[in-house]
Amino acid sequence: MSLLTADSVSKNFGALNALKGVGLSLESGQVLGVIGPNGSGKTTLFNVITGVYKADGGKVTFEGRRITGMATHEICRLGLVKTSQIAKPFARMTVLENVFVGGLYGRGLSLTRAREDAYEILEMVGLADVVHQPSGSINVAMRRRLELARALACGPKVILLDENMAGLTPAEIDGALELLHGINKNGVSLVVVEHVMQAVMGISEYVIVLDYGEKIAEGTPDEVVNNRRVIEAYLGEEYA
Amino acid sequence: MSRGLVTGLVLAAVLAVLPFVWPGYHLSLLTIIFYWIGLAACWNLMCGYTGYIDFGSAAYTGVGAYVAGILMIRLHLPLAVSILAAGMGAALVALAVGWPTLRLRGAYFAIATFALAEALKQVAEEWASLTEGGIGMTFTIRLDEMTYYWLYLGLSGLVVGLTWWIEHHKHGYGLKAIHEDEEAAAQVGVGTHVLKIKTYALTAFFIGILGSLEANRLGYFKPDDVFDVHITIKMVIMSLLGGMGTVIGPVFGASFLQIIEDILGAEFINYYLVIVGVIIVVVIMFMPNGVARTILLRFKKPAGAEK
Amino acid sequence: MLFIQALTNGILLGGIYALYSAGFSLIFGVMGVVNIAHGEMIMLGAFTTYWLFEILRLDPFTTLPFSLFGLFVLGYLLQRFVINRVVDAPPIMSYIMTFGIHLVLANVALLAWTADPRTITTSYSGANFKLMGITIPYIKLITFLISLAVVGGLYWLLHHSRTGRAIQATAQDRRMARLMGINVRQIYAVTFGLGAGITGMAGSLVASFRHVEPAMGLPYTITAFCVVVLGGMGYIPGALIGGLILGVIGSVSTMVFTSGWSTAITFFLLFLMLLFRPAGITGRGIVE
Repeated sequence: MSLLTADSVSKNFGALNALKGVGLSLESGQVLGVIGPNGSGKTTLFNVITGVYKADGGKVTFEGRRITGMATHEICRLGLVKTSQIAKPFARMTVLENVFVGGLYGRGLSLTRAREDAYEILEMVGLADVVHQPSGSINVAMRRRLELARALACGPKVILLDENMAGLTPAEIDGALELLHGINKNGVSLVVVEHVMQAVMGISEYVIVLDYGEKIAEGTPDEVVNNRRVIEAYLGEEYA
Repeated sequence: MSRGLVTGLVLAAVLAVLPFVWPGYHLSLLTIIFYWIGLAACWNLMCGYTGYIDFGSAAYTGVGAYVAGILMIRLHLPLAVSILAAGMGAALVALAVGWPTLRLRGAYFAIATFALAEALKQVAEEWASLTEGGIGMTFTIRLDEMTYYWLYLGLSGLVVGLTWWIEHHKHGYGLKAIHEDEEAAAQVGVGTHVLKIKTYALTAFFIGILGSLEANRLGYFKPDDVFDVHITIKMVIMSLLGGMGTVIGPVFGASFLQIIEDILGAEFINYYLVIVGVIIVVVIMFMPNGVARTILLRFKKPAGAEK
Repeated sequence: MLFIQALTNGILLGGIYALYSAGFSLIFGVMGVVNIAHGEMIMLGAFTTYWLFEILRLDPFTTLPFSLFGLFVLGYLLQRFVINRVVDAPPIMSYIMTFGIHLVLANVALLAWTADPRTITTSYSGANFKLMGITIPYIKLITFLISLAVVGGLYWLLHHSRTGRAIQATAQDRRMARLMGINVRQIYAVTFGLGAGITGMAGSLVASFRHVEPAMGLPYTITAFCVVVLGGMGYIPGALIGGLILGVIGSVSTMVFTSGWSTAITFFLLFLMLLFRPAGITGRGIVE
């Protein structure tokens, strides 16, 4: 049984059909990539899965349980956590406190346990030096890591990463990929949305491609890059 | 921690015996100061921490006064029971109002609460068979002046202490996360809607108790007094002056404003609101963190990275 | 018959509700600012008309351009020099700020003009005609028609003028508008001026049949909020729909109960709307 499935999910914003019956399925331990040009519905898909938006059709299940219609924080507590495309740290709280909140609420830990846990996670993602700084004052690459650390603090089984590597330098991307590999090895399944092809292809075992709110292709990274519709829709525009 | 506790106990003891040393006129000033510390601390606990602005807190002093008034005067229930019921009545109203509005943008909450206080005032005016309408209600049973002082001291201490406790525990981090970014807070598991409602009802409970006690202390009240928008105004400005979202802010803000008001006296009341308005605008323009905090931060700027 | 009369009164009243709510909706829709000082714009418009009538004997309806211009300038300056300072801050800052402005305007007016209610009595005050047994006061009818015309004009301006389109672009995406070379702060100031200006006109119209006094603003702010929630916050035609509905409800419930109850009923309606349909009857309001 799949860990996370989305079945013909659709979402409209007024006249705009942002998602037209998109499905995906994630096995335990897997890394799934979701790619597509800007505005193809990747972020909307994540928001529907995590209950930020209400789906207009279709259903989402997590560990066999229907989660469509549940609130974001409930879904988070089940172990399905999203990071945002625009890193949104709680700017006036310290880096530590940011992660700490995740442990307190996402996992329901005690104050002491959540604090210890937060230190450990920050150590792991490489933010040990800035734990007591206000999170508004750290740079973009660090914010991305903080976003990830905050998600990890919730004790997730699955993390949905929404362009967590956007705006990073190639070297930083390599670092981030390595970190994600490590997280995945520890048993956390990942769904990775990226605009940067290189980043997704390097880590995903399976990839789905969205265009104008529809799934136009899926397969292993190799299959997908050679798919004609994908080249037309997505790579075509970039390589033209 | 334990040193803080000792300091707190000593302070409480000193404040509790203060009226004996300094009786008469000062007792009523001290009483009123602690009343306002209590109210401002309630407002701050909800609005300062979550960033949702309540412009109708007077709804809860009013509901409190009327619940207690009706129970004591019409049904002859004991004072303690009536006061507790006043708090619960206010909390219930807060639940009913908070439920729909706290899901929406803060703008809806701000004006819905603003409208609430006015609407309740109208109801109290019109429903004369229950409330005596504009004629007002008079309490026959009252407490001794010293008791009011101790009650306000205790209640304001309780609310400030509660704020401190919340600040350092799970709820406080949740509230601060909501203030920073509600969507992100939900993403890490904070049940934002319920947390806001709980906090709101809790503060309304205390405002209801304080409002009913104050109506009882003054002995007589009518809709215009207890639903007065200026009650809310004072709560806002006291928190703002002291620093919103800080434990001690409302204590400074309320003491400062109440003493100033006392010095300037009744003559001044016409200009008072103009000046209060100007202060609000100027504070927001130049010192959005509150006057007290801005000044403190200036002093300890070099080390100021921690908060 | 009594009911149809109340209905007619409600519709006539609804026009002016729509007019003074449109400005509130505009300001919220474009800048996300909740203008707590909204009622004071009405009060100032009403006093503009009162003094022009009292001193220069100008007919109330000829004073409309003055209140439009006067309030536009006030609104423009307020946004330009005061509120613009907090547009990038969390929105609550702007609420508290307009709350402060509300206090200043209402209480300065109180100091300057005392709390006495004043009325404007013209040769045609109280005059009316009967149409199929229904009494229609001239003043209310003219007020209604002018209100519709002004709301229509605002709508046209937003959709067909250069400035209007810049306002709409800014409302949709501030950063994008900035990239397109729109001076966002200037547009904000113009928007606030526009909102205040038409609200001032509503004040002038109100002055022709209601008391004029410094404390009159607050109930108008609250009514405007109800109207705008009914019609959808930030959606201008919604103000028209909400205004008419609220006008009718207010007028009918005043007939059945008293005006005090009517305020309470209005609030209860607002509460139900927020509970079940926060985006307004049209579903086009800005909610989250």
